[in-house]
Amino acid sequence: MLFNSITFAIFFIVVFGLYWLLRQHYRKQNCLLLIASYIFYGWWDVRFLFLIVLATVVDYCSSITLDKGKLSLGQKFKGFSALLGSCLVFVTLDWNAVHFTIKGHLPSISINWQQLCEGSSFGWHIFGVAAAGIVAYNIVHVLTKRLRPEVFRKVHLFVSIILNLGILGFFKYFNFFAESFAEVYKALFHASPGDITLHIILPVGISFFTFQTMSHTIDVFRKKIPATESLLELAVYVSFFPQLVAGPIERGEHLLPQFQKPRTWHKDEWRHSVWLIFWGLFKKLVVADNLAVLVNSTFAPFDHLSGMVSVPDDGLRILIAIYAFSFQIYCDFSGYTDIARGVAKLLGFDIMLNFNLPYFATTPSDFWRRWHISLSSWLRDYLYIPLGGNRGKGWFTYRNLMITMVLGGLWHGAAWTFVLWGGFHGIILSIYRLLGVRSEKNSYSWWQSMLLGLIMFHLVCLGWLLFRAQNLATIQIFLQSIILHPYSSPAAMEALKTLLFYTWFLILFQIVQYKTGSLDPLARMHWFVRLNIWIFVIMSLMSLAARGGQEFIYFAF
Amino acid sequence: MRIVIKKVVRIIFIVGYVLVASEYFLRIFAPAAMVPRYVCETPYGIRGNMPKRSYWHTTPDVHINIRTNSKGIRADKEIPYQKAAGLKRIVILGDSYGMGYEVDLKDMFTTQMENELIKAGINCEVVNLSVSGHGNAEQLIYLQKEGLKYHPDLVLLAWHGSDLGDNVRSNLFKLENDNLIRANPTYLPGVHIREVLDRYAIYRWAAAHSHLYSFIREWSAGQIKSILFSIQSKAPQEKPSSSEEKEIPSKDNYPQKLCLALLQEINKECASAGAKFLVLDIPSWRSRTKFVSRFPSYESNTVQQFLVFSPIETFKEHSGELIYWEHSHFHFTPLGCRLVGEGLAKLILKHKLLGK
Repeated sequence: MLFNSITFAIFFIVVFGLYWLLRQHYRKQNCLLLIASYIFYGWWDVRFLFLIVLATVVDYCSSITLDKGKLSLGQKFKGFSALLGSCLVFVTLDWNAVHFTIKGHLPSISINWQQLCEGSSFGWHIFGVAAAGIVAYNIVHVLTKRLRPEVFRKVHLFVSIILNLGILGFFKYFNFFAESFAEVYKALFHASPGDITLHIILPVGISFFTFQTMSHTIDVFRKKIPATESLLELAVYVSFFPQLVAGPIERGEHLLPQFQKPRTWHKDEWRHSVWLIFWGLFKKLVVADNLAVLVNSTFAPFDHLSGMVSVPDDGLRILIAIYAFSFQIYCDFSGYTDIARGVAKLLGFDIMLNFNLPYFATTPSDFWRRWHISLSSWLRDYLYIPLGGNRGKGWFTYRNLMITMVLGGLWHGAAWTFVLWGGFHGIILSIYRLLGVRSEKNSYSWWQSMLLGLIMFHLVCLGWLLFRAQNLATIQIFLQSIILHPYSSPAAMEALKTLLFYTWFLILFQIVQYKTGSLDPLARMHWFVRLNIWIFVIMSLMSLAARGGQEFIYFAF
Repeated sequence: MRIVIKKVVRIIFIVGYVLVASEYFLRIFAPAAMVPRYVCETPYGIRGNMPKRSYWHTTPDVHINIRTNSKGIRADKEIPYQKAAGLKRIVILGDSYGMGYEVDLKDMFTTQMENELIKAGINCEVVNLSVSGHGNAEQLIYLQKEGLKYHPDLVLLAWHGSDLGDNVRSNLFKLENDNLIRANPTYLPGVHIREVLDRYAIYRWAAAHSHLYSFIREWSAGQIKSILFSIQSKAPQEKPSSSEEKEIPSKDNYPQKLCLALLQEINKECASAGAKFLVLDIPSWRSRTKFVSRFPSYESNTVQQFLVFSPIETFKEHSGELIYWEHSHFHFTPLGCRLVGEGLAKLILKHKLLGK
């Protein structure tokens, strides 16, 4: 269910209406949010709801064990029955037996009960594995009961992290490593190891909710927050639909307490929420989706290279396409986040900021404090700092930076271009650190800051080339074209016109945000100026939104 | 009281300002195609072009004058029903493509085809009965009631993918047990409303000059069409009254089946009148290098009984050139019209569709 779809609009209107009818009972609101979130996620594939429940139950059991030392009988019963029940309902039952269609304008559901109840043998295998997992957990708990408390806690934390990373690794990286292994095997032994890949469907948003549950468990281990004993609260924290499939990756200490108390709703919050939703839709549908056409038409001939291709002799067109991609990915991702924040705000929740004018950054560290803030702060707090951060000698810090950024790149996808992209950012972080370039305000004069900003933007664009290219050859060809053939062409001029046409308002608005130091400059503007901005945004959505539409880029992660 | 008046004035100002600002937004950033459609009710229960009208179509690409004669035909001359001895007549049935939207009269594919045939020595004349918005159902009725009066030697139907939906939406005909039956006597969507509104100068001005009006009209027409299609496409799901088991036409291919049935009926009418029947399959634009045909295919146990001309191969030879106007409704450019007109003329000559 995409945010920019009629289905989501109807879904949210229903949820919103019911939600505020229950405003006197926040626990009932939590129930409603959980059901709505499961419907939202299950819309893609019902089977993957089991993964959400699995991640929730693993986090529930491990966080309580880390905090209290053990699970009570009631807590065990809740957790294990949720796990087995969800496995039975979401995986074992054959949901292909259920058909949902629209006849005329009326919804219609047809169910083949026999097929539904027979289930799939694969589903029963998973049920067996889940049951075995419960037994294994209890065995581990018994075996580790006598260990010293700090060792006991570390073992349980380790088991929790291994389980979460195991789920993520299997669904996202199994085929990547299998194919890479096959390439190395072929190179070394001049023989094929056979077909060792599996047909695995990547669950939407798995990277996001896995990291979110891990951060909660780690924070409980570090005693930053207490474990929540309410499975319902934890479940809705893990599956909260506005941020479930494309972030931000929330923290337990920020989001969980909001489920533990009544929500309130202010008129100013309503205005800001609606603005965030429309601004997010503008960035996604008007800017990102229209630029996607330009970007795809430039990259497409090189996406599946087989044989010799000529280097384009109009390097300017390639450069403009890369600029266009930098705006496309920013607007696509930040647009989604804005809609998520706006939707969450309408429900009385505050979700963390994920983007803070990243293209105004002057250094790589500044960039990563502004881009995908939830991921970069996650990597900083749970990977970089535990590795030692910048506490050791120079090379030690650079090693930690490289490991963090390479794994950050790998998080985005199972491809060597993502690893290259992450490595590239690690290198420029290290170089800037070595050169002593600072990102604090007032470190440089205004023209020096502008120059640094321009250089940083181009370094980021170079990174985006690595990110977007489907293969290494494309990177080489594009760089050759830009450096050796920096010429214009009619197509380049058309591309430039398209880029400027769709981005001028965004750039102007972001300059206003930067100058005023506020991401919501509308709040302080005269009502007449606000009216004109609203007219522009709404008319753009109605008349300039790309036909057809594109899926959100970060859904693939 | 003063506060209430102030509030009301403020609201009126805001509403007016929003309308003006939206109008200027569209003019600057997303000019709408202003292609007003001047249609009226005919005695046959369907739409026809308003007679003796002259109006302009303005899009980001063109500024074209459309003129109709006393019978609502887009032509600068009157065409009598009786044809002169030795004259071959081609009656055109179609929608906005057939009517030559976004091109001048001289550039229309029908004009190009006529000129090519005359150059080849055939004394012929085109009678263009195309009406914007017509589907095959309306074209059948128009042929029966009006077209055959012109004693055509050849009937050329300009078919477009939108006909599939238009036929279902109009609900003039439907299929029952694979038989084509007349379902409703009239289909006049918005005609009466437009006739009332047309009395007011502000409406006439908005239809001809306002980008905002054109944009809203196009958007709402699209939504209404979609809703009507959804509702009407439910219709042919009734089980047959016979106790024998019969295949119920699935919702998915009903539009295609209805379309083919209508074309068969038009073919029969032509045959009865001694005229040949030719269909021009207008490809749908996907890009300057990709064109697709949405013409329904026949089931394996039936035979297509009329010629269908598709210009896709000719378009591919001109891949990358501007064959369709891309900033409005994707009608043919003069180049597109020339390619189609020449292709049609070649086919007509090759198959001797106008006799020896």
